[in-house]
Amino acid sequence: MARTSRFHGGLNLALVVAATLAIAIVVNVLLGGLRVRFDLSENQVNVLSDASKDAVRALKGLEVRLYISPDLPESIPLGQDGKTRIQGFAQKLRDKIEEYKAYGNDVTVTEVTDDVVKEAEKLKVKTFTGDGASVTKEGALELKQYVLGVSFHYGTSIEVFELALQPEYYEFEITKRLLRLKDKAESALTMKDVLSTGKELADAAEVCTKALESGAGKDGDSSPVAMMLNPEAAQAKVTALKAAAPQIDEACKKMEAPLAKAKLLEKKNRQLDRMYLIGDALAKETGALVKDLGGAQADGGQVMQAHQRLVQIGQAMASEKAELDDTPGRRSIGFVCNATTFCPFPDEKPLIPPEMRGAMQQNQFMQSVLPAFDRIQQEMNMVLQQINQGLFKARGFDIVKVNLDEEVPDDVEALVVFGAKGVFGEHQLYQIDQFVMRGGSLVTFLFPFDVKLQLMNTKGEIDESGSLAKNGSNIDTLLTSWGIKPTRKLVVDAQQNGEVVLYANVAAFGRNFVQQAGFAYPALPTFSDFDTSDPLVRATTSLTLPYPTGLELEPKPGVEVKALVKSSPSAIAIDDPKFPMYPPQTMSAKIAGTAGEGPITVAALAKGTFESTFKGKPEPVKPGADASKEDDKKDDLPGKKRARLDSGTGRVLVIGSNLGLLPLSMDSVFEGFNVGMIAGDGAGIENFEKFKGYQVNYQNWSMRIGQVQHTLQSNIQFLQNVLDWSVQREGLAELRSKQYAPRPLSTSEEGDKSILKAVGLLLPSVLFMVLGGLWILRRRARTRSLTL
Amino acid sequence: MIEVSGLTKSYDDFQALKGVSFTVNRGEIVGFLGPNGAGKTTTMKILTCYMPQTKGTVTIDGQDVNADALAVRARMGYLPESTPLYTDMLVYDYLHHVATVRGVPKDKVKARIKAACEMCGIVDRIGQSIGTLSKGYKQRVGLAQALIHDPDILILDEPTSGLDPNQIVEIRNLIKRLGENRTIILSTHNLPEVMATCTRLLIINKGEIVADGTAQELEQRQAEFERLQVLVRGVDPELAATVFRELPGVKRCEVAPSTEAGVAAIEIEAPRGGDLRAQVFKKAVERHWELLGLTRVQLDLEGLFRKLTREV
Amino acid sequence: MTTQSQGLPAQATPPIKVNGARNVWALARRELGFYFNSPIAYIVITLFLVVSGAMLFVFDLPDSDKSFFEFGEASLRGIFGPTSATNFGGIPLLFVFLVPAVTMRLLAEEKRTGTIELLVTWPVTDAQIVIGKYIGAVLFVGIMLLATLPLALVVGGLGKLDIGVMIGGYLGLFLLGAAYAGLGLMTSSWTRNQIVAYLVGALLCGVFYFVDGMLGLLWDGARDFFAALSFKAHFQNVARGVVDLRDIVFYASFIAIALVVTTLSLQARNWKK
Repeated sequence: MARTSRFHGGLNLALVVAATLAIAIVVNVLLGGLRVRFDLSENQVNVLSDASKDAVRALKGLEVRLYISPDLPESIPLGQDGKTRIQGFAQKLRDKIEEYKAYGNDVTVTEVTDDVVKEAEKLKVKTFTGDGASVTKEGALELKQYVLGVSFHYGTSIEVFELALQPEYYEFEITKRLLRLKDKAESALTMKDVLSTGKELADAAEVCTKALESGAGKDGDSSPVAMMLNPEAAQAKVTALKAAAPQIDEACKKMEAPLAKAKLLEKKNRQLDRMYLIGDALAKETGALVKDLGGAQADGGQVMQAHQRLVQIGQAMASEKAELDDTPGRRSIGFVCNATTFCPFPDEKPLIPPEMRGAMQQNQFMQSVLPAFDRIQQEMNMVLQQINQGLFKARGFDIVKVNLDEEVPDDVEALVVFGAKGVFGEHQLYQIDQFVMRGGSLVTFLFPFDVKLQLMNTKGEIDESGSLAKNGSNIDTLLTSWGIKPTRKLVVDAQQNGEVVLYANVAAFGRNFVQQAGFAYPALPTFSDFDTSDPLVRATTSLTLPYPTGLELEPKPGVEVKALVKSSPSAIAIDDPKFPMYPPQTMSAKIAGTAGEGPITVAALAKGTFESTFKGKPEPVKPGADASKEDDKKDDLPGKKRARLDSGTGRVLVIGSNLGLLPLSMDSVFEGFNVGMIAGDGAGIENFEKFKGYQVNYQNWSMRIGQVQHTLQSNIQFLQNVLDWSVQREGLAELRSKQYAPRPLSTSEEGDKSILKAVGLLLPSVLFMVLGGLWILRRRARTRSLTL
Repeated sequence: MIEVSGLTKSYDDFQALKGVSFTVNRGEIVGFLGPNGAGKTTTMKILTCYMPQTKGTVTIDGQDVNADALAVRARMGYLPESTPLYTDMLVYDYLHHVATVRGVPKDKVKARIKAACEMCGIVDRIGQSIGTLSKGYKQRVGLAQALIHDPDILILDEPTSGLDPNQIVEIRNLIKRLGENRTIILSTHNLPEVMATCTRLLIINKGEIVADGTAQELEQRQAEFERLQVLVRGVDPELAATVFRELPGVKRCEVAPSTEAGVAAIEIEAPRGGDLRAQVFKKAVERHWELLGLTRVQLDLEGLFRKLTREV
Repeated sequence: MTTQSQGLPAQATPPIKVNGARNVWALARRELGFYFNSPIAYIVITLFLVVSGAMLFVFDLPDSDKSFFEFGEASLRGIFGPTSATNFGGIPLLFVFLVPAVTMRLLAEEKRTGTIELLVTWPVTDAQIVIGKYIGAVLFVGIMLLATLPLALVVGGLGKLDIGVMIGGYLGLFLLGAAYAGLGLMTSSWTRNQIVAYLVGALLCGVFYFVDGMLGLLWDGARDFFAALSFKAHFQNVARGVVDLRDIVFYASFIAIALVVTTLSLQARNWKK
């Protein structure tokens, strides 16, 4: 070692320390650019999945803008306890974006720094409010707005990830948008005409709306209520409008050219058609208003109301245009709403045609029944709307209603036949067949059995019985011809199953109460055997499917068929419709001891080149085709009629259960209803029992859903994966399951918890002290026995 | 074997060593003698490579203590002043640890521990924690650790300080035995220790070597002088000293600490040959002092030591 | 004194086989032995384990106001501490106070008792001394962590624990403890007073633990810079289950700097005055 003077020593020290620091900094900076990392976590939740990497790599020159309020609070008033911690989310979002950037292809990331909230609003990135409020100039309280989101720009297309308040889903949400962005940008090229026309139309509508607004004068509230309260002001506005009429007319006339263009493009895009209708209405009604204003006898109130309406229509155009911009590359999932499927769309078609309602008014009996029917329909529609929103739309799926009596729209990429109870017409089957032949994806959730347990009878009592009835949907013929044959035998498992929720009597305080309770039920078998080579179920750990049928795989040449979900070996298949289904204990006892027949396949996938089921057969005739020439004409529109295919490369996924989602539609609730039943003066009374039955039908629907609802909750992830699969976004399915990793504790008893707490506190230290004691004893012994 | 030349060491503004030079030959037991603060420990710390000198060189068989520090350390055993040991360890574990660090081959460690313990008489204490040992035993453990790698040079700093007389004797005997085939440098401020154990003495005072030689050589050098101890009453001691100093041939005359009240004790040193006693007697009578005692002492090592190291 | 008088056969030139690795390991073993031969170490570890258990099972989990059973999730976040920059807790925080206590004596005590004089006159280099002592302390920290594994077993028995994240968390804690130990050893080399070494060490560890949380808030622009220096920010990466070369390099450079400074301050005795 160097022996130096103190001065030199000090200098040396400083030099060596400085050199070490410098080396350390250089090494850290140099290696900072490297991305050598391993993710040890179970599903690699921290690093991007291949799907995400591929998604960002495919977008060369992607531009990412981050919108992060600099003063984000620690928590915001949200969630069940009114407080959601969002601290650190901004950094997590930045980190995630950095991660994408690292794997991307020439990605630029900019963080919007000035006036973030305003900038964000420009791009329609949603903001949220925090606890903080400020006082506006007018002295009103204004909640402080925050923003935490990202916008992705690729070509002229934009995707926005807003309200990034769930870091665990960041990757899923971002990748989803990147995939969508790519589709959007690509389709935007082919849809140039439509998009530019839409833009012109929206711009013209905006000019018109502005003219309408300014024509009424800028000051004051122009809402009808305010008008009523203040007639002088209203009159003043009408006067102003009168004066401005020529300008308004001129401005709104400019809409004619784009409207004409849009008219030319009719039927090319539903959204543009919609915009055309709105724009047309705006133009026509404005014209009428201008005419009214020109008239001497203009009613102030009416004019103002019309004016108000027109402004609203005009303003709606902007969001319609945004919707149009969003259409390119949209992958819609069509829900088939025939043959009594589960169809998550409100059915607005009234049960009783309005023209008959007038006649009903004379009928005393019908007067009491009709409101009940209306109420049921309203409630049903509400429930369906909720399911539609909550289960599908809110989760990012663009679902559309498909009526197989009409052509399947072009932008429908996947068809879902969810729990068909009834029989499809030949032509309907043909539509499905041809959809698959054209390369579409078909998802079929079967509804093989109608199991009724503890349902209500028409007397309003709960029937302590259970029944099993087979549904014979002819969708099976299609599936069988493609290699997946539903056996329509109920798969039950006495050992691995979920619970069914039933009413049970509880005797307490000398009285009987009825309470809901879960009972182990073999007809709700639990599956844990998945084909993990397929991303669709790779990360699924357990599924409990209500009343599933077994599937037999009969591969056809050119088609690859594989079982995705299989039962445990202990499962058996029941073919006997008289099998005792109720009470659960009896059913369990009946099958206990029966030798297992498993594994039985309950979900299977077929892909490859399918042969059309209708090959060599005449094309089925569309019902009513000859009766109504109108419909025929529609089909004759250019590009509408599709050529028949005898084979094609598609994908078919079959799940042997309806996940407990029973059909809820006018058809299923008002089964057997026909207008004839209520026609005539004293009509209907003879059908009283039937009418009561409809009410009970609806009630039983919710009771039956309630019995197995909990299984649906745990199967939602699977359902979402299936929908992702259907639109060729399996990558997302993988990402979704990657994010979901609930790690619940298996204990629940309060007593257990305190024991566990004590164990947690004492076990390590006791173990350690025991080991330490042994060590000390060993040392003692050694001390005594040490010799040389 | 050990060559020290022109060694200086300064601590800030204090110069602890002012050019120390000496040579130690193989097989010598050198007593390094000097009062507290004379520079003994500093010299030893430099010898053992604990800290560097300011100037000068130290070589051991030609190896420089600075340049070849590790090699020098490896062949040296060192027992620092006050015997710092890891008191939490067992004697055996401690020696094992030292042997390992000292580079004793694994298969020889146990034999070396045994030999060292036998040398130092701590065989029956190996299972004891060092902290529980008596001072004497700790000292022996310190010696054992210095010996564990069988060094040919041993440097012991105050090996007997703080021990009781019996322990001192034991340690001295041990050192003598060790010295039979090693070079040992031991430092002390205790003269009898050197007399008892060393073959050669180095006396250091205020950072300078003031004497170097075997006990006989130094004693002979000292024998050129004689010393008188005078006890007189009825006179101021300083005055008496002044008076005696003027006697012819007196080399040195100083007041010595007196044991009786009113009695002045004076020490007079003069070259051997001329007997001063008569002149002292005459002078006392002349001055009417009561001469209570007049003794001639032969000068010994202790005297020499004191003479050499006394403040001037 | 025994009566035997056989002299030791002193060799003319003793074998000079300075085996660095062997020396380092011997020094490390001695330090480890010290810890486990002293009752204080057992008391400290026992307390540490009880507090860790309480943080996991009894106290509210970090970044939440629910305790383990209320939260109902099989994870070890209770002991791995919070993820937000301004919160602190878990073993990373305990270590701020514990690790300097482990390292405070390493060199300060040697200086106080004078054993350093023997230590440095043995044929070992200063760097070997520093590394040996450091390894001893780090092994002790590792054993402390191992002693908490029964907690992981309990949690693993209650639910499905993400083993990868757990390994990451422990690796992170170990790296964090190792970095703290480097700082602690460094402060121990600056003084002969253990208490001073402890206080300065704990202060330094604390500063580097929360530097982003404290200064990052005061000075917004430098948040990233401080996060880059913060033990916590780097710990969190590893604790999520991501073993990133950058984090490991960060800890390694930190430890290297601390050990270099320690070695230099040991060598300071060599400066001529």
